[in-house]
Amino acid sequence: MIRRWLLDPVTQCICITGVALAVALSGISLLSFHTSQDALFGQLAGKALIETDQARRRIDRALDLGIPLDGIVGIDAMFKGLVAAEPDIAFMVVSGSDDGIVSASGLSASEIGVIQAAAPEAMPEGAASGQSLRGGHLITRLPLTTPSAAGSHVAIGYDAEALTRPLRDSLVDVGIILLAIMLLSFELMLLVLTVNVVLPARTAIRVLREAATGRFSLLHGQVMTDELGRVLGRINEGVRRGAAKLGITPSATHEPRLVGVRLLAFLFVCAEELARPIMPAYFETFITSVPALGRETAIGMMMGAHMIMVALITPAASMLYGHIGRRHMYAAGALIATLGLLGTAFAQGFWDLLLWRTLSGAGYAITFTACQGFVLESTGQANRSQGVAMMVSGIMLADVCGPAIGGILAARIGYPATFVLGAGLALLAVVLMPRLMGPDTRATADRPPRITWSALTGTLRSPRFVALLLLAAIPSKVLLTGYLYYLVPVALIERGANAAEVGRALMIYGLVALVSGPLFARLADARGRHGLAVAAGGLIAAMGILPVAEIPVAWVIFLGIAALGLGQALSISSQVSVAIDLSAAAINVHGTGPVMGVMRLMERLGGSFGPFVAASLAAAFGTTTAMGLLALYAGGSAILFLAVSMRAPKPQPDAPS
Amino acid sequence: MKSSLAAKIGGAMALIIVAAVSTTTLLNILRFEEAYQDFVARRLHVIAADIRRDVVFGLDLGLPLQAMDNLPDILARHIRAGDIEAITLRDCEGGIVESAGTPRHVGGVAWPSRKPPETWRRFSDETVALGVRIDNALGECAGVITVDHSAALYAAAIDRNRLRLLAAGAAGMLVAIPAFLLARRLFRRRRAVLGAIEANMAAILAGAADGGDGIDPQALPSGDTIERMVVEAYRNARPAMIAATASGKDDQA
Repeated sequence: MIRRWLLDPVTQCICITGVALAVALSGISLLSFHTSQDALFGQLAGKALIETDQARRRIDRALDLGIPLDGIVGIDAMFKGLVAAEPDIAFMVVSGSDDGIVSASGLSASEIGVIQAAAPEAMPEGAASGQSLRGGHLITRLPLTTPSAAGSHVAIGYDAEALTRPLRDSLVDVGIILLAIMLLSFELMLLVLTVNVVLPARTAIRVLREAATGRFSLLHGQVMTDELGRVLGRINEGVRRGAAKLGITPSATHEPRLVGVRLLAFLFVCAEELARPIMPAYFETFITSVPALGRETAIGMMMGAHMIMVALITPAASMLYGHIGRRHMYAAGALIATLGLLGTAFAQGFWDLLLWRTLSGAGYAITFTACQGFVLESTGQANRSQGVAMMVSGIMLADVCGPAIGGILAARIGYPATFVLGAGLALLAVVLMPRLMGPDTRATADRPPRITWSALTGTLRSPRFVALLLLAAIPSKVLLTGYLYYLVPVALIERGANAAEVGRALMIYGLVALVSGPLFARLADARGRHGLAVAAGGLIAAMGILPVAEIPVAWVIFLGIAALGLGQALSISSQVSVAIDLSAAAINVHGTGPVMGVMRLMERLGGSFGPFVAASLAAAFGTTTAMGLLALYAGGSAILFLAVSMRAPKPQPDAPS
Repeated sequence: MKSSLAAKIGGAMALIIVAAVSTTTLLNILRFEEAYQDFVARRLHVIAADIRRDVVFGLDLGLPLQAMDNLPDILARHIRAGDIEAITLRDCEGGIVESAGTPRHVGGVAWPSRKPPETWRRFSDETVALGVRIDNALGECAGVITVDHSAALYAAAIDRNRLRLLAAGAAGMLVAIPAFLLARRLFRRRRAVLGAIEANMAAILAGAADGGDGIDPQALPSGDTIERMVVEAYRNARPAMIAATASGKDDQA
């Protein structure tokens, strides 16, 4: 198994790209770290010199007034004043003419002694005389000028961390970029290799197997000019001759490029997710134009508008799918999303911003439906889950990469430009779509599910299905949109985080869900305890978020995000199985698609109120208490759902629930 | 036009590496510029705050700014640093009370607003400056200190480091070359297999097929790879292909 995986050309190419990227990016980042550190050193040294000079002048002034060096009081207070303005100052020391320490602040006299006695380290350009790097500190030592204190000195020690801290953040950014780029390069290499090697080879195998039986009815339909293309040309020639002998006309065939859905799904989700870390902060800048609404209501409304549009437009797009076809639908959706994102970037006021956000939501829903249709049309029952998994992995990848890269970019290029980049990505999706999606195949019966009124009422007639919606599906969406999309960015920004840090935090959710999702899905399928998995997922998320209300610090918020990712990964795949079990009667009448469509519609509608609820709670009780309250709601719902599902009779195959 | 599979894959790989290195280099440059600007601003702020402390001391003694005789000495103290071009004490309307060095914006050109903020900074191609408001004991604006850093020296430091980071990025891009060569090597064996099938198939079409399929077993990749499956399918289809083309020739004859 591992050997086969290692021999796979996709794996080999990705390994080469990964190693090359790891070497190149870590190399240039380390080099950048050191050269930048040298350039910053001069400024830090200059600043340390001024601060030490200030201290010297103040001590000299006291000495001029006749106060002896060891009788000066208030040196500690002066040090505290310096540290208040510059937290990287580690110590200040006044030493007498015999180099004995008269006063030590910040560190003990013995600790300072050890640092001062350490061997001097090599210093970059920019240091003045009297400055040295010792024991991890930049020490600036100046002589006191009052004659009565001749030979005495004052020295201030800066923690050398001051130089590395701003650059260390950059290394974290590079790490994030490295991870995101590795994931992206995996996608691109997979696409290039699948389109150029795997799919043509699979078609060739099909054509050759057909020829081996003497039927000669299939021709390879992909035109290529490389070595593989030339081989395929010869094989096609052989097939044509065989077919001519049989008096038949062979038809061209090729494998559907299902792999394209990964990139298409990635592009339209990433276009939106790039700006995820900055959304509450950006929307807040528009609320002055609607003072009557209130800050929280306005931001919640803005975020909810996008989600409501996704919920409402998805079923409408499914109904139009058969008339429009996936290519036109995807192009239209991506263009609408482009317009929505561009409008968001250049909005002038609250109401036009609201319009642009709804457009963006509509575009998102339409492209989502087109991708869903592409998967359904390109797969059969045998490989449908594989196709769906391919689309989901594209979306998850965007959930990981979008906020992380968007946050880093937003911190540097600004909020509107980040939305413009998102628009660019949506536009790129339009450009790439013809190559990635292949021609429309309108003859197929597999289309995105259409929600009919009878399917809606039939499905909602099952009390246990309604319980699943109200106690599991909607709470988990509310937690996602309220906690992750609204409260986390707001809480982190309140704690001084920038957009890059918010992006990194949001990325945790995608990463945890990406890694644990397939594992939990297999586990739940193997055990068959889907109801328990749904309840456990809700409880894990709630228990992970709840401590934030009591310990409102960043790392607890991060833990909450990870717990949410874990809980949702456990719960969401099992929700589908439970829904199918609970609505067997409705499925018998309307089919699985419309019933699942009803569930998605209801949970999305519920989820669209998440930011609004979270914002209202935050306004009333504060951000972290709001997080705790949302967790209580989700946890309470999960316990109730567990009680309901334990009382439910074990579902019988094909029996009404 | 003929193309090569190895070149396609290697090219895509090289392109991904170049794009990733470019992005990282750009981020490194932006991060450095941000950090450098912050360090310069903090240093200018320390200078301005030091001067403010002395000026406030005078104000607390009841001296108006114009009556402070030691202002030139206070301002000149920090001009010694080579990159500080000017330090200026202005009244709250922007009029110069005292200055050391050469103020860049005489006449209130650089004045931020009618009511000066507590602190501000301006970093542009022409100006690198920071201003700090001085309040009297009643909390009213008493004056403003502006510290001008040499914009040329600032730009030179940024440019110098930017060049180094660009050079590092360019060096990092060189990694794309061995990656490209490795990908080509990886696909060379596949090319040999495909070349053998193409030649063998050409011979069949020309009616000159001998007994073998011409594929070197050594060239076949080990494991259950897609190439092995293609070769296996070809071997199975080969007799039918030979029969079909031979019959075709008979028919033509």
